[in-house]
Amino acid sequence: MKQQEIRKALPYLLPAFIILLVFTFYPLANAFIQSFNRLPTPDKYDLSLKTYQWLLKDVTFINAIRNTLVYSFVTVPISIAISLMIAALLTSIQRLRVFFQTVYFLPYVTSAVAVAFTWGYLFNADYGLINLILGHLFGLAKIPWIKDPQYAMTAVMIFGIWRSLAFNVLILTTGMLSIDPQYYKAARVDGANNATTFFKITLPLLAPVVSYVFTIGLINAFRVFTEVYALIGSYARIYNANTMVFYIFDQLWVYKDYSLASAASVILLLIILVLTGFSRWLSRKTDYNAS
Amino acid sequence: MCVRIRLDDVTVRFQDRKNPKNEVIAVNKVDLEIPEGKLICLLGPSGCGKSTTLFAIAGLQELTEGKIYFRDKDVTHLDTQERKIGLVFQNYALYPHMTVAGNIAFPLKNAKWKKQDIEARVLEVATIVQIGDLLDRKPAQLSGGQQQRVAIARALAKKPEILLLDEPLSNLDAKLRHSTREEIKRIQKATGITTVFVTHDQEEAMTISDEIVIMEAGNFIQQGKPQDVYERPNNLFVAGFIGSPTMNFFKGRFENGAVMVDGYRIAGHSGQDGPVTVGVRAEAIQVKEKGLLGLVENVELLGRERLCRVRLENGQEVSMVASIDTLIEEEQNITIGFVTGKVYLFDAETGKALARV
Repeated sequence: MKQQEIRKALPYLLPAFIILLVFTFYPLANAFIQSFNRLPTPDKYDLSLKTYQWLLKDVTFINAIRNTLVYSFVTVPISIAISLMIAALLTSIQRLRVFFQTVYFLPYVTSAVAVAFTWGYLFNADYGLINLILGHLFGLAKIPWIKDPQYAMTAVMIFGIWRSLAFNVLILTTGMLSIDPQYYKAARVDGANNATTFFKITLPLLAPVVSYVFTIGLINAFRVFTEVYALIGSYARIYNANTMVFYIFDQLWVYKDYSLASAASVILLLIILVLTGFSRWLSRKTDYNAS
Repeated sequence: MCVRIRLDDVTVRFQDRKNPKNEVIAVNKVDLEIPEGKLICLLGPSGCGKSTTLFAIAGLQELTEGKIYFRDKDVTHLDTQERKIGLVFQNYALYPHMTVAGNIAFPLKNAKWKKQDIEARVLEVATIVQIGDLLDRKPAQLSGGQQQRVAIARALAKKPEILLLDEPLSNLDAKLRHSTREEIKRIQKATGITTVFVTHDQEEAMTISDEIVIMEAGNFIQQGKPQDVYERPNNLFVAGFIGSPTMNFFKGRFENGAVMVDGYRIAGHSGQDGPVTVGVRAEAIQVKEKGLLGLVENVELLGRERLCRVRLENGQEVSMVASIDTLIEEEQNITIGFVTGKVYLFDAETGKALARV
């Protein structure tokens, strides 16, 4: 770019840049430095690698990482599979499509806390709908979903899958509708049945969208917190439902250990960076127009 | 293997998207017989219903009324894949995520062919359309002309009895279009398959098809060999649509037993006095001693001929083709006349062809 063009572009870029600087880059840098501070508070500094050593020895943190990994790699694929089914159904109907699209999108715009309240009732051990159905269908005993370390994480995952459907269905439906209908005509002429058309035409053509939804889903899943906090509450750690962000939250607000919280944040950031790199690789791989 | 196609009173009506109460008639009571083993062109301006007719034959477009027969079999309610047709879409609709071989093999896999049969057939059709060296490429790595060939190969793979092409040349540049239409003709000859192809380009239709079917506003207008359609147009529309440069039309009159244009007597005629439309092709206009006065506005050299634009006294523009031996220059005043036997008369109201004088 020429010098003159840079000068012209600067005033337009500056406001956003200043906001990013103050609210993103500065806290980021701060957290990075803090993560090497052996002392738990930010007013005195003693830089060392101690925090990271503590962190990686902390069973609670290791457990949080494990929970987060399980949560991410279970909820995201299941959610995408269900979303694909719903999106395929949505695109195959003409009438009421907009109505159903709105219905499926509603969870996205409703407050997680309010919805978690409802799900809390559904999961209730004594009078919850889920136990009622399971009891009727399979004769299962009452499961204490959200008050038991054995089941709490599963409850969070079910809730998380349901929450993430809205966004996935919206994006996948839009993606499916933007596939050139000529491919479907060609597939009809070529004698492809519905299943073949879905797996050999729709899915490959949708691959860039699916890979996008997958990455965004993973990144969001690694940052899962609201779902845990709203459904299980602040004692999630006790019920074995704490996640990485929950751990950070605990360190910050319960134990007031800024350094450990920062170190955990840095590790989370590194994981998400790796995921982003993976997503870029994936989207290049699925771009069939690249020659 | 080749098949005669018959359309019997075929009508296709759509709902108007902007105004659902209105119906649009895309194809209006078309009766048509397409002979077997020939290259037939559906020709007409855009929106005349030619592509809809093609998709109706393919089974991708439901008929509102009428029937379609292949040989003598009623296929009106037969599904696309049971009609044994191959279809080439306007923008080819090659599956972008499959290789060339994958595209050609796709219909065969769906038909549950054996693996080695598929491989052999893919090679066979690829050889017919001369893309044997491109089998491992993806469509995005091919030129427009190569994509076109792949689309034809895919359409031919399942050994269809009818090959349908929707505006197959419209996405190609001029040079490629020329060679590709030769190519389509060659492939048709090589396979002997009944081929129907849609175009709005009359020159394209004239040069490659065995027969032309002309449509206008959903109606069937005329069918015949290119030369016949050129020489014996059914009506004013065909006369004006076929041929380049466009036929010249004059407001003429039947007067006292003769056809007259602005006082110029063209031919004798027995019949009632009244208006008539006179059509003359550029090559049937010559410099004469008696005729219409005009000023030469533009001369284009076409090699052995000159294409001249002449402005008549009444302001009308006329195009004429003069041989290179006739010296005509711009800004020259000339008198033009018509070649006897090559003047078309059309009903002034209905446009129906009346006679050639």
